[in-house]
Amino acid sequence: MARNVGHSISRSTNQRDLSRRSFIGLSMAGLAGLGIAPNIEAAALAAGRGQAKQVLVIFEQGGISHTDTWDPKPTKNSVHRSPFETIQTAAPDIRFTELLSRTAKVADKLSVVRCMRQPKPNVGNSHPLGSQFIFSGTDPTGPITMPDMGSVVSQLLGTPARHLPAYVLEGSGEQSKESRLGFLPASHKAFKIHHAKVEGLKLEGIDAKRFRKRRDLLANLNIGLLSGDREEVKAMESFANQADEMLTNPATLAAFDIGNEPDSVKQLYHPLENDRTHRGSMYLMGRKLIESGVRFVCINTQWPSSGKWPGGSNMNWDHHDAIYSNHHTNIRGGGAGAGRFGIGTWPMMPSTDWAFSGLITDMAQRGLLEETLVCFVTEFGRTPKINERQGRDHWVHAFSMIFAGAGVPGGQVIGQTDVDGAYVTSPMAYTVEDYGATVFAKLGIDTAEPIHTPADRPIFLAKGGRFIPELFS
Amino acid sequence: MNRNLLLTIAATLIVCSAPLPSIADTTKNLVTAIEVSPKSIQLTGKRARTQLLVTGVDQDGRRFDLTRTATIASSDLIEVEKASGYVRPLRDGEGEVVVSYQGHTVKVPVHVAQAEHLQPISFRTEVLAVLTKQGCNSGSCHGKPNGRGALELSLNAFDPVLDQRSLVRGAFVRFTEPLVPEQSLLLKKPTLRIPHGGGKRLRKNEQPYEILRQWIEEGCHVETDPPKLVGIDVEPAGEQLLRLSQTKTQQFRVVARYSDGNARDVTRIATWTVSHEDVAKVNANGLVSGQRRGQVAVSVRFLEDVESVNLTVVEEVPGYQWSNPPAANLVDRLVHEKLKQLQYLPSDSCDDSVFIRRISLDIRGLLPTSAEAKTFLDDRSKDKRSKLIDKYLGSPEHAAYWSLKLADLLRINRENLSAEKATAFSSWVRSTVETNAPYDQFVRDLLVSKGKTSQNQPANFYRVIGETKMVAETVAQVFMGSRIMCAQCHNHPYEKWTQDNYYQIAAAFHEVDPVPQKKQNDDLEIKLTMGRTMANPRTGIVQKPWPTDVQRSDGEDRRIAFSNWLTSAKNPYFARVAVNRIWANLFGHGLVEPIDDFRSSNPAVNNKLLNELAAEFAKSGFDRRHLLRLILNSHTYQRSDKTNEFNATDESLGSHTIVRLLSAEQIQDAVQMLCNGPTDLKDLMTQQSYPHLTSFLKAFGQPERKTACACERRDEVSLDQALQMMNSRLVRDRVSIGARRFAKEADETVAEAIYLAAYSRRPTDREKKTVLDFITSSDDRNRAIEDIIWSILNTNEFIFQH
Repeated sequence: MARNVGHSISRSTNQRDLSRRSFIGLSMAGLAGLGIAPNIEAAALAAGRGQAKQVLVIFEQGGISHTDTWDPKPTKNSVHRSPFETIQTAAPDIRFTELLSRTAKVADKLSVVRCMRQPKPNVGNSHPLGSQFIFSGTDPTGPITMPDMGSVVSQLLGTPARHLPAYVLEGSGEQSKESRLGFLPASHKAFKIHHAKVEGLKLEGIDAKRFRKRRDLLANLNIGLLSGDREEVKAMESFANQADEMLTNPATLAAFDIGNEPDSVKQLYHPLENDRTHRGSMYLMGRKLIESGVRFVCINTQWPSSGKWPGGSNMNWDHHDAIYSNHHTNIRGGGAGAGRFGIGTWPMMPSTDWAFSGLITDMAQRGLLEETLVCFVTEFGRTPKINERQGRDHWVHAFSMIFAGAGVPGGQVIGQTDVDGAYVTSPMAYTVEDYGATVFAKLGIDTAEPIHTPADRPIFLAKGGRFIPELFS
Repeated sequence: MNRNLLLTIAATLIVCSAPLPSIADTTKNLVTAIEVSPKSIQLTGKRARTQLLVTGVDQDGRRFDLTRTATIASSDLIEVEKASGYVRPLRDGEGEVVVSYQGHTVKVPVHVAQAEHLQPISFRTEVLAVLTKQGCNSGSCHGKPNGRGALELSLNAFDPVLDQRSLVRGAFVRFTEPLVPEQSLLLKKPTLRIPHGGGKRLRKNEQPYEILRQWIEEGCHVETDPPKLVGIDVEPAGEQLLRLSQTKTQQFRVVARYSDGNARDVTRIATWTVSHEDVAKVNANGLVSGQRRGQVAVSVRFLEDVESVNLTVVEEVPGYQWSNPPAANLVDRLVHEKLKQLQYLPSDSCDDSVFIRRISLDIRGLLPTSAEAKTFLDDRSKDKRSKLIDKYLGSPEHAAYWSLKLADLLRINRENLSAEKATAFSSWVRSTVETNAPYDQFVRDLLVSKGKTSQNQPANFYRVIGETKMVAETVAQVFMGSRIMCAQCHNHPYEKWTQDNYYQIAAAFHEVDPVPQKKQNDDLEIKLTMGRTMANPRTGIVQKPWPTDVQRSDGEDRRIAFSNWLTSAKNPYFARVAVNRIWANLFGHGLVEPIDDFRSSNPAVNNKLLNELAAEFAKSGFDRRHLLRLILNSHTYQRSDKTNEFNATDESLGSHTIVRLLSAEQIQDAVQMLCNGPTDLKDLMTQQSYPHLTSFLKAFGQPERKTACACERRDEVSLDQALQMMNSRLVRDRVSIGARRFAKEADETVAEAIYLAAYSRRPTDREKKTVLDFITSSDDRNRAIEDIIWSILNTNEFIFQH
């Protein structure tokens, strides 16, 4: 029954802001003092903290096979090797497989982190927990349910665009249900859309003129209980004004409207044929929402099932069976991997390659990479060995994440795996918490300072994680 | 030695006295007597210290602190720190110290022994206390899991073994360096001789620093079997008053008692905190300074013990005069007492419209129907309010609505139970409200339940909650107001519950065994598997079931002793927590907030009221309806939300009603009842067995019922709510139904019909005119009425309870 009203929330946020800033200097000095933190971290921190104003996360859920895509292993045992050729990219030091031939052309704008690990036995192979982990950046098995990073960011930084929600989640992916608000107030919940379908922001059953008339009448009738100095009533009136703006400002719906983009832009993301647009248009919407001022966008989608893709009932990246199938993966003796399509088929990597390369190209052209951190993530990798069903199972010991924008250096590979892509061999290895800490650090949020639950328990964001220093130039 | 001698001579001549506070008005501070604590000063050893406390008593018997204003003449045996009354030994001997104020004197005997003997530092009782006091081991610093930087400490020193290992072995043995103590990181960092993320935490000339330094110098010795802390005594204790017109400060002292019979003043190595810094602040030496009128808990922690004193800070408000309002019963009497003390004036009584809407929402969860409102407004009888209270308390809607809040805490949801089972369990809860079953009986039925859940509904309690530790946490939070889950991994940071206590409570429920019944699908039998033990995983020591001082025979259901202890009239938590929940349901906030976080460091806004209501509740045989009737018939409950010059800043004492948002279920039902008119109970959300969790209900904070925390039901306003009220399908559909209802009225009576249904009042002339003009100037009457209903739904007066 905590009495938490809008005004007091923003006030305490400001206070935390202040203390956070004053703390940065101290904590750096402190780390240096014990000689524990390598200098690279301090330097990176000084240079890169707060470079991002916005974040766009592309969450491709199910566990993308890293050795078939971002981390090719052309010399490994041919039984287990990916059938896809290794190709040179626009960056001298980076090679992908041919499944990423379009993305290869923008590799000079990407940092490819090949030394991701997810060494949490209690999260392990679980898709729901692994997805929750990606959403929150913090181990989801702790005693307190952790809110999504987007919700935390909404609470701490607010929205730059009053007519739009601060955190939008395209939630058509199977595990979008793992998005959590945790202990934060309801207003910071992910604003979920499904296949770009927006609910609640379009005036329904009434036109703008009549809505205006209603609001005028309301102003005349809202006299029985005046807000006066009642904070909670004032906060509600302020939310009502914001809701009014969302419902009537044409820019609100336009931000979600991918239809009105010119074909020349759409073609960057996907071919124009009707049945080939899904993933690209979701990525395009991500760009639009960022451009419109949404603080934190997460695109978690998968190719929709339809008669066009028979057998593809659940087309995420969970390729336990027949990963190289030319169509669906439903095989005799198979099981957990049924319902996907082969990694080389259009609903999987080819559409992703097209969409992601288009996203980077388009954002770079528009100057959006200056202050937006783009993350391409998955919850774990897949086994370097092919299994008896020609599939690959979950693999938490090595996988890849890709970053761009907001000061992330381009054309960079970070970390290395062994000849099979099985284990990290580089001196550094990073975890999902490190990914979380990176996102927060880029936004200027100091994870060394806790936030608090309503019961005043201190909660550390991305607990145990440290940001990836190579991503801070 | 020479220096000491000199000091001794000097001290015999010097009279320690602090200047009088400049604003102190001596005529107000006329005293009839002074008192000094301790009654005698006993100091053994060079490091012994004690805090003196000088208290004046004025002609009205009111006590106030004179420690800093009285004159303390020191003897040659002791030195009294200037302006604080803190005493240290100078040389061995017996004598006395004279304390005087306004001609009153008190002679305090002094006994000093071993003044030259430097006692070794105790790791367990001194070093650990200092680490807590300086904040080193707090939850946001080195006390967080894995510590911070290279130093990991246990939260508030609950794990001395870990602390010892970290301090002695950590950071390649650099934290403590006995050969060169001053070079230890443990001293260099917190004094900022080298950079420290936590800032300056130690000062060289202060006791905490000296304790750590000496301990390191002595080789970081850790005693093997130290005397145990038995308890701490804080002084002054109990309910205290600080009148800012008399003095702005109050000195506290605290003495620790040990199992070897010794007692030691630990005022300056204990940790002092206050609950409300805007009301009073406390410094590291236990000196409290009042800031503004209000109430505050002053808490002192020493090792694992915490004690608190409730301090009321009183300030003269210019022009204030008590209005002497009548008191209907003990609620008013005790609320008025508090208001008078803090100089607030209660608001007037609310009008009949506000009353019927408020009471209907609070008791039944529903708006009054237009007919009910009209009848009540037109009723001229004097006792119509108390008659209405009785009528609503006897209604089935009341039973359903009040069991909703219990069902929240019992987690009756569709995830834990099938619809059919959730309904059956819920119905049982409802029947106990309907028959007004004694609350202690209700709780005992839940806690000692066993058998098949299909036949014995209370056994669903164990089915829903499952694991033993969750049961312990649920029972503690729901019925004892204690958030003991913190103590699963570490001693509770704010209160006395230890990790051992946690496993003792869990042990009381550890024999419960939910056995699935294979043949009857989905049924479960709650059985007991006798003799299962529960150990504290940190120490491996098997814990006795709670309450630990009860003799149990083998094969005896441990839950019986527990529930008898819990529901006894003497239990310090049970009745108070129950009363607080009921109070919060009626006022929107508890006497203790958060309503399930009872601890000495979190004081009730009106402790006497809470205690007397709890006593009344126990005396009545835990009769919930009796308690409700008592509160609802008070003037306090029936106050208006309109404030006066002397109560606008009061948020919790009951001087006026606080406006609050309708709950999720209330607001959906209110929309429904306004638009549809009288509605079948099965269509109302306040009357459901489990939460329906539509996007509308979730926006308004309907809980999923996944935790035992009342905080899961959110009550803050949000953007989502505004969007729902303006543009949701639910509102759209209801508005068009509502238009059909009110279109039957003549243009002139539309306003009155809607206002009676929405606000239980008749519209003012101005409101009537606004509505009438809107209808007559519109070319589509039906649409106009829709627009009016939509607007009414979105008014503050509709979505808030007042």
